[in-house]
Parts: sequence; structure tokens; C-alpha cells
Amino acid sequence: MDETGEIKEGEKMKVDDVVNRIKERFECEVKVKEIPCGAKKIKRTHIFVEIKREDFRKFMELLFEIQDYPHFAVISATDLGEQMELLYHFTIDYGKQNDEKTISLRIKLPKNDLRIETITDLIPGAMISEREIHEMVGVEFIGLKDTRHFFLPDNWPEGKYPWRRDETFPNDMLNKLDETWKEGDKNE
Amino acid sequence: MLTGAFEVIWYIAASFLISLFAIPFGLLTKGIDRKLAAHMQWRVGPPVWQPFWDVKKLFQKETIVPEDAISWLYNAAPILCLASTVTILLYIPLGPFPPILEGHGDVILILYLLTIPSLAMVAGGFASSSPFASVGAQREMVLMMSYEFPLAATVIALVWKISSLYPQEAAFSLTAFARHPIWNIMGPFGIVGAIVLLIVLLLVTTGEITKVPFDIAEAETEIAEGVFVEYSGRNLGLFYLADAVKTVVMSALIVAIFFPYNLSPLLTPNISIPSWGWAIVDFLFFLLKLEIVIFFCMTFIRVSVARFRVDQVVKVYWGYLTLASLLALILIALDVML
Amino acid sequence: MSEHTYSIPVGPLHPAIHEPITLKIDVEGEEIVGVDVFCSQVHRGIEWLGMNRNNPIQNIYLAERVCGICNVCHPFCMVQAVEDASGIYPPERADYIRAIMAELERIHSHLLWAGVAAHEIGFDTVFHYTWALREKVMDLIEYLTGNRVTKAIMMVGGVRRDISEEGKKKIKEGMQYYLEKFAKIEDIYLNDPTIKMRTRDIGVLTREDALRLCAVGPLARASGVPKDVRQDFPYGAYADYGVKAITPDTYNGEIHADVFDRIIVRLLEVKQSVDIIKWAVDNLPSGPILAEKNLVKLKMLLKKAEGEGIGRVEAPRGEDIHYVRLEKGKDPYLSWKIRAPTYNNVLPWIPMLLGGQIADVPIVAASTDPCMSCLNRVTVVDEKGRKYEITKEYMHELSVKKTRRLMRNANRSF
Repeated sequence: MDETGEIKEGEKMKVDDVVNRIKERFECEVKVKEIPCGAKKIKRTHIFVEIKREDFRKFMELLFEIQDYPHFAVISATDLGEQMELLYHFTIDYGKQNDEKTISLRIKLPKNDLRIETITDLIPGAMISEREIHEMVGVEFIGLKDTRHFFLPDNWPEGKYPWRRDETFPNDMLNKLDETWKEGDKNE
Repeated sequence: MLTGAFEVIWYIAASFLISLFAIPFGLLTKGIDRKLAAHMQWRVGPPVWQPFWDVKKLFQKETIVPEDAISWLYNAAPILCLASTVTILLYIPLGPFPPILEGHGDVILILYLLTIPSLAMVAGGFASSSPFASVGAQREMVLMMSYEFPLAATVIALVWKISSLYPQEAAFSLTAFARHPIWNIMGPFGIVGAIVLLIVLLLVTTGEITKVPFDIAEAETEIAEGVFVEYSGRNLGLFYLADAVKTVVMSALIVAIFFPYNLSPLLTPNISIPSWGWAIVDFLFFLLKLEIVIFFCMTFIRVSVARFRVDQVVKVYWGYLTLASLLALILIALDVML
Repeated sequence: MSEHTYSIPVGPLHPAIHEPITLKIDVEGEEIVGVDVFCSQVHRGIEWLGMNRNNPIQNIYLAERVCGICNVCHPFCMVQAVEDASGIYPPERADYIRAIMAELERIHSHLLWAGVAAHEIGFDTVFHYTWALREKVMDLIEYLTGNRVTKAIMMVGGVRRDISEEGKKKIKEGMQYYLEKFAKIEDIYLNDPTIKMRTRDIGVLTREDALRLCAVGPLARASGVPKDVRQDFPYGAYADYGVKAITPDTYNGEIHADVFDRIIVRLLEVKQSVDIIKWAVDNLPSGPILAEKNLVKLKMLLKKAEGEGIGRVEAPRGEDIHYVRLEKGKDPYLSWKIRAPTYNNVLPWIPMLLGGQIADVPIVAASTDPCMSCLNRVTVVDEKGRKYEITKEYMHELSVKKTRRLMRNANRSF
């Protein structure tokens, strides 16, 4: 991309190129999902990549090679029982007609070691999402400077994670929201 | 001449009477302003009597004093604000009636008195110990300092003209303006200068009664009513009344300086009614003049522009309006010399 | 931080910020030297409900209540994700009706925003005027869907209501109305000196910052990033139309990346939406509007389905993204993540506000168009001495009557 935001034709990247570049570097599973839409059946492309936790930062480097500023959308988390799955949603090649692709980066973390490096040093905009995952499912982001609660109140009990499906789910708080604020709480 | 105890009683009664006139009329003016503004904004608006209900409601509500506030100052500020505003009215001629305290003070005194309501608001704002109120109080001070110069320049220019023509008059008295309407004594330069001064004074009035675009001290969407943010109940009601009276004061001042005409000299040859009847006609005409002035300096301006920022307000007052008033001063000086 | 610094809390209850979010602003005099954002006021746990309690059909209506204003894009986005996951794709006609609804929403949302922005800078006349113009599109929406606000039009594999020939005529009339009024709105917002005074070079978000902080929607576009999901990643009927992202340089050839540029972008998008709607109405394909008409069967299909899908929609405020994962044999989703546009547009507040004045806070915060829901209507009325209470039932009755009246008068211009 040049200064004015105009995109040169030559920079367009085929889906296969992206997939090949990922496969060259990493031992991973890449799924491509193409969905036709509208009367002209133009395809929109979702790329799902599953990688190991150790390769995470290296993958981020690759992403930055593909695009100057890969757009970070959000992290979604799924509780799979023994594992916690994090899905980083990125989009690349934005700003070009019909040419954007989503890259969803899947990382599975064992429940007893929920740790992963932060990406806020590369993409500061990821801060809110990392703080959210930190408070909702209890993943520790190594290097995340600001670990205060963002969506949950400050006096939220420690070790309770509302998006998990195990014993840390705050069952005793269901339907008792009025009781979460107690007299004399610091943030009343 | 009145003397002694009788004089004191008369002044007390007069202050009381003038409050009885100024407060309801101020509230009615507010109602008319809201109705007119609403129609100019493509909506219906509240009934004209709405401000009366608002005041009634405020006086019935609980008055809350914040824990950290300096309570004596916090409670005194609204009373001081209303009292000083009513006091100014004692020095201003109301249509056919000369000022009640005629001879006791002049235009300079009025200029000083005009700062007291603002100072009361500043004191109340700082006393309420809220960050919003503090910002509002600071802004009120900035605003006050900004419009003082154009206001003073306007008054001085006109007084100078009158005193140069009629050295026998007590130059700084407002009744001198009534005896010699400025439009009659000005030459061509002076007329232009006077028109400029009238516009300056109208814009200063908008700032004085803190309406958009100069309502930075209240600025609802920015600092949540600023100085009034902590005020409630009776205290807020008093500020509300003071604001209503201040509108009357400022417009009466403009009318006294620029439009001191009465209907009676014009109509007396044709129609014959008793002199008290003429007093009523002139007074009603005076009220009409007030409403017209208020329409231009309040309603019309506030529906047609956006609120300025603090630096822009200062720029407008210290920059454009000061320049304009100095220019008018020069024009009037030319008029005096030629 | 020096000793002259003190902090002002803006929100959660503040006339300028209409939603529960807190900005802690450190100021020195009038200048802003520090900004911090807090949410944690009202988290409604919508994703949790979708993952633990509701079935997918119920979730459509839940998604509609994520935001009162973006009540098409959230369900749109969610059904897209569910369709991807389950393979139940909508017919073409449904695609076009969805696009029409989404664009009507964009018109009303942008006009609403423009009004709010005018109010934030104290220009109430423009605020009332813009909102009065907005009533036309609200009436149109009510006529087409039966509701002013929550439209309840989306369904997995299609839409719930068709657009009749009369409806087409009314939409075209409405669009003509906006084309006529557009010149006036443009003149008010882009030529008024006081609006320019308050918005030009205020709240600048550089292109670099917009990219780094992942800004989306009109905010990013005003900073010169031509990013629009409808253009980059077209879905439904937009793939056929070929939307072009609007950046302020299309208007006057320059990018200041300030609040004024955001006004330009949004106003031009209103015009763009009018064009898209007119095109979609003219090219509306015939055919069914639902892939699976039988709701019970649809529900069973969704229960059996397994897979994951990502829905992306360009909401009026920017890119909206939903991730849905279906689990075989269970009604609630295994996973559901909603990423509303404001989620990404909150962090850019910090560079935009730093160095500004307190007076800029409302308009800068509003310039990202933070999402809010405003659904309250009047409860007690005292008119000419008569006192009566408007209950929820009475309100409902009145609304039904009004909708019927609109339907009846469909032939007449409204």
C-alpha cells in the first residue's frame, strides 16, 4: 500500500499463495471455506489455520509480512472440556474490492496451563479483547501490561470465569446479580 | 425629597415591588423564548407558562448539599446572585418610570454590579467541590473577563458623546440617555458607530445571560450544567429566578441606552386619555421593546449557531467584539470632533 | 502529571455519553493530559445466554437486542454465521431484502448520529431538523416490518417478510424524498461556519493510529483507510452491486482525519445507501424468501448441524463480526462471540482526545458513534388537566393501530 491508501493491482494476493506460504513455514492444518453469495455468486473466503502455541509469535511475524497492518477483529474462546480453544480473527487485504480474506488462527491450550503471549506489542488494538478473554475464561497473556477487568466489575470474585463450562463457572451467582454488589464494596 | 425613615421604607417597598414585576416577567420571557425557539426548530415546545411550573417544582424539591461542599458559601451563592440581580434593576429606568435609586448611582455602578451575579455563580461552583462545577466556575470567570471590555467600551463611548454635547448633564446617569436619545444627537459617523455598538452589546448580553453560543459555563453536553451541576431544589430555583431577572436587566439596559423612546409624546396630540393611562401604555410598550431585544440577543442567536469552545469565546470577545467596539469608539470620536 | 492535574469522570451518567461507559479524563485547566476508559458498568451476558439457554431461532431475537440501533446488522451477522456453519443458504430474493433493510438502517442510524453530533456541540436546531427528517425512514421501516425499532426480519436461511409491489413503490418514494432533502442536509453540515469551527482539526486520528488500533467503519474511512466490509468482503446482494468505500477525499480531495471528515463520510454514505436501495428495489429477484419455511424442521436441522461460521456485516458504525460454533445434538451454541464495532472504536478515543479540550470530549466521543439503545417511550401524560397513564399494553395497541394505518394508507404518499 502506498501513502494515499491507493492499492496497486500487483499487490493482490491469491488465496492459494497465502495458504502455501503458511504451509511452507508451519506444520499445520489449513482449511479454506469459500461461500458464494448474491446472484453473481462471488466468493468470500475464510481461512482457518490451526497451529501450536509455540509457533504463535512466528505466525504473527508471517502475518505482518503478508500485510503491513493485519486487521485484528477479536479473539473468541471455546471451552472444549480438557482444552480451551482460542480463535484469533484477523483480516488481510482489506480496502480492495472483493479481495479481503479472514484468517482465523486456532490455538488449543490445555486447561492446566492457560498461557499465551500477548500481541498487544504488535497490535495495540488487541488490548480490549485480551483483557476480555483474560477475565471471562482466565487465559493469562504473557506480557499484557494492563490486566484490569474491562467488562466485569472490579470486585468480581477471583477464579470465577463465566464463559467456562467447568467448576470455575460462577453457578452460585446465577439470578443473584443484585447480590454481587455488597455494602461497603470499594466500587459501590 | 424623601427623608429619613420614610426613605428607607420606600426603598424596601420598591425593591419588593420591582421583584414582583421582574420575576414573573422574567419567567414569562423565558417561556416565550422557549416557545419561539421551539417553533423555529420545527417542534411544538412547552406551554408559555412552563417556567412557572419549573420553579414551583424546584421549590418543592429537596435541597441537597454535597458532603464535601462549603455549605454556607454553597447556600449563600444563589441568594446573593438573585439579590444582586434585583438590585441592579433599581438603577435602571423601566419605561416611563425613572430608576428608583435615581441619583444614587450611575452606569459605572451598574457595570460593577453586573459582575456580582457571575461572581456568585463562580463562588457557588467552587464551593460545590465537584470537578464539573470547578471547570464551569473557571469558564464563567474566563467568560466574565472576556465580555467586560467590550461592555465597558460600549458604555464609555456613548457617555462620552453625551457629555461632550451636554456638559451640564450628569453624564454617567442613565436618565441622561432617556432625555437625549443617542440616535437624535449623532452625526452620520456616530450613527454607524452606534449601530456597531448596539450589535456588540447584544452579543455581550448573550454571554452575560449565558446562552448558546456563549454558554460555556453551563454547557450541558460537555460539563453537565457546569456550575449548577450539584445544585438542586430551592437553591437551583433561586439561580433559575436570578437568570430570569438577569435577562430582564440586560435587555432593560439595552432599551434604556439605545431605545429610550415612549409612545406618549407621539400619540398625545391625537388621543386623550388620563396621564396614568399613558403610563400604562408606555410601560406595555417598554415590555414589548424588552421582548424584541430578548428575541434578538437570546432566541435568535441560540437557535442559529453551535456552542463555541472556550478559546473561541475568548477570541470572539477579546478579538472581534473588542475591535468592533474600539472602531465604533473611533467613529464616535470623529463625530464629536467634526 | 503535575500537581495542577485533576480528573473529571465523563460517564457512566453524563449528558454527552448516552451509554454506560466511563471516561476518566485528566485535565490541566481545559487541556486533556490523560484518558482512561472503563466499561464494566452493564454487561448483559448476551453471549452467555446464547451459549447456555437459547436455541438458534431465539438467538436471532436476542441478537436483535444487542443494540437498539443496529438491530438489523447483529441478527444479519449472526444468521450469516449460522448459515455458514449449517449450510442452509438464503435464496437470492432474501439477500436483496436483507440488503434493503440494512441500508434503511444505515440511513436512519447516520441521520440519528448527525443529529446527536449537532446536539453535542450545542446546535439544537440542526438536531431537531435532522431527527424530523429521520422520521420518514422510520415510518418506512415500520411499514415494511411492522416495527419502528426492532425489525424482527431475519431468519436463518432467509427473511421473514416479503416486500410487495406497493412496498417497492413506497420505498422509492421515500428514497426520492431523501434525494431531495440531501442537498439541504449537506448544506447545513458541510457549509455552516460554526459546525466547521467546532469539528475541523478536532479529534484527529491519524491513518497510522487507525490501523494500529484496528479502528473500523466511518472512523477508519475518515482517517483514509478505505475499509468497508461491503466492498472488501461482500455478502448477499452487495456482491452484485459493488460498493465503493467512501473516504473524505472523494468529497473535497483531502483527508484531515478529524471530526469534520467523519461527518462528510457519514453524509455521503447516506446518499450511497439511497442509491443501493434504489438499485436493490429495481433488481429484486423473484422467488422464495426462505430456504426452509417450516420452523420446526429448521430447528431440527440446526440441532443436527455441526460446524463453525463467521458472519461479517458492515454495520452503520463499522465492521460487525460474529463467530458461531454449532454442536451436534444441542440447541444452544457451543460458542458465540459478538464483536460490535464500538468494541474496536473505543481505544482510538485515547489518541483522539489527548491534547484536546474538555469541550471536545462529547463531539469526539460521539464522532465514533458509540452504540446505544434508546427505547424508552412516555409513561405518564398530563394534557390539558386530564391525567392518564400510558401503559405498555396501551402503547402496544397504539403502535398496532399506527402500523395498520400506515398499511391502509399505503397508496397515498405519507
